[in-house]
Amino acid sequence: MKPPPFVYCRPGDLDEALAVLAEHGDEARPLAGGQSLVPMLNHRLARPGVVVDIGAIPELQRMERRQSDWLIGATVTQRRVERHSVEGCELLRLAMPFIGHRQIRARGTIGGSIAHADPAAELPAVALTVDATMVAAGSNGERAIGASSFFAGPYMNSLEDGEILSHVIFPALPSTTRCSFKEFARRKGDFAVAGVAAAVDVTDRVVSTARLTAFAIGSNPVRLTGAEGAIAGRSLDATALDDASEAAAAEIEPWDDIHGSPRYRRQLVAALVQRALQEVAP
Amino acid sequence: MSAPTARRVEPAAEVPVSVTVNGHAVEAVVPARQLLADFLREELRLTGTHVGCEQGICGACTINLDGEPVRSCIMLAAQVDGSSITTVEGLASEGLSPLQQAFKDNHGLQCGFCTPGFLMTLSTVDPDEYPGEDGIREAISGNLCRCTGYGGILQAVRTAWNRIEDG
Repeated sequence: MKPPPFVYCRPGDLDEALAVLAEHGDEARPLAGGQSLVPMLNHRLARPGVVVDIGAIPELQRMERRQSDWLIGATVTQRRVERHSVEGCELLRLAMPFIGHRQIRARGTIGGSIAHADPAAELPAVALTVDATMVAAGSNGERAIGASSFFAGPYMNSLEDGEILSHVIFPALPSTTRCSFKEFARRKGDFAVAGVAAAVDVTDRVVSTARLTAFAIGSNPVRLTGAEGAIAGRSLDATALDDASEAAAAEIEPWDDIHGSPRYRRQLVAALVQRALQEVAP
Repeated sequence: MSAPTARRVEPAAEVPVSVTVNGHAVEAVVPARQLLADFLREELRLTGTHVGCEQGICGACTINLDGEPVRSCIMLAAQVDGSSITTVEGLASEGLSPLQQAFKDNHGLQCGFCTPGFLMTLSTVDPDEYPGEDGIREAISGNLCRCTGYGGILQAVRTAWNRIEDG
């Protein structure tokens, strides 16, 4: 229950961090808030030879509202986002209280959670729902990766060796878009057994754009395209909500683990879709 | 981005750390892999910070780091360079703090193992951010107690936060 030996450094700028990462290849792991990596070190599930602490790099701590999006640096803490209004990024605000506990959010970072790609994590689901862009920094410059191709399996992302996630761009949604974030966990702050994120645009009482995502049901969050299609162009009445939750339950392939069977998770997702859509209905 | 500049950092197995603990400046060289909880307990002999689960679940190791409650068992000592820490030893000056007294008066502890974590969470957060009875439950949700059933702890927080209903 103590970390295995490693060497450590705390670079003060991004180029230094990238140089160390490039030199040590897959022996090296970036450390952001450490709320996933340090438990993994304690359990010795991770045994990096080199830990590169990116917590003192000002470039990675930027948080800016730009014309049509929010740029959030990889090491901006979840607590900082929680305290900020992040106007235009309602889904991000709604998801924050579900991430661990206050003590975790004080250290846990936006980029760390997304790069860690835990199947049950909230931020990857938010990123997928709003189609956030992950920006990777490497020795050859920056590379933008869309949310639909960033997550590559449980605890896997599509960063290449020597690259780190430097910031995430969350598009600001129109003021007509209403969001909801729902998850079920046995206790407050536990990992979700299943969760649903929704961002729905309703114009003239009918759904013009619907984005629905389920998470904690499989390797990575998935968009519920069937459920989205079921409500497109319709008003969010009881029949539409039933159709959406039925479609969601039918289209997912939940995994089976100690926390819930596939059948149970289908029922959870159906119920959470229903509740999320009740919340966004005008 | 420009090409990487000349390297100024070299990864090392031992790391110099400057940190303020309970108001005292501390200079130390710590093993890279040393957990903050172990640094506080074993190097500084501040054994009030308890180590329960060592995986960030139980909250017994909670400390105040730069004004935020954090779990010291899932932080490296090396990460706190330049920070300011308060541990449970820093709460009482003369006699118990009002929060500690409220725990004592309301049976907010039995074995006492979890108590430093509860105290550090509750003394660090702003009560106004946790309104009402639900707020108290939310505030303590990141700390586990296996003895009390939480009733005494809830009553202690109500007392310390002046939330006792009249009558």
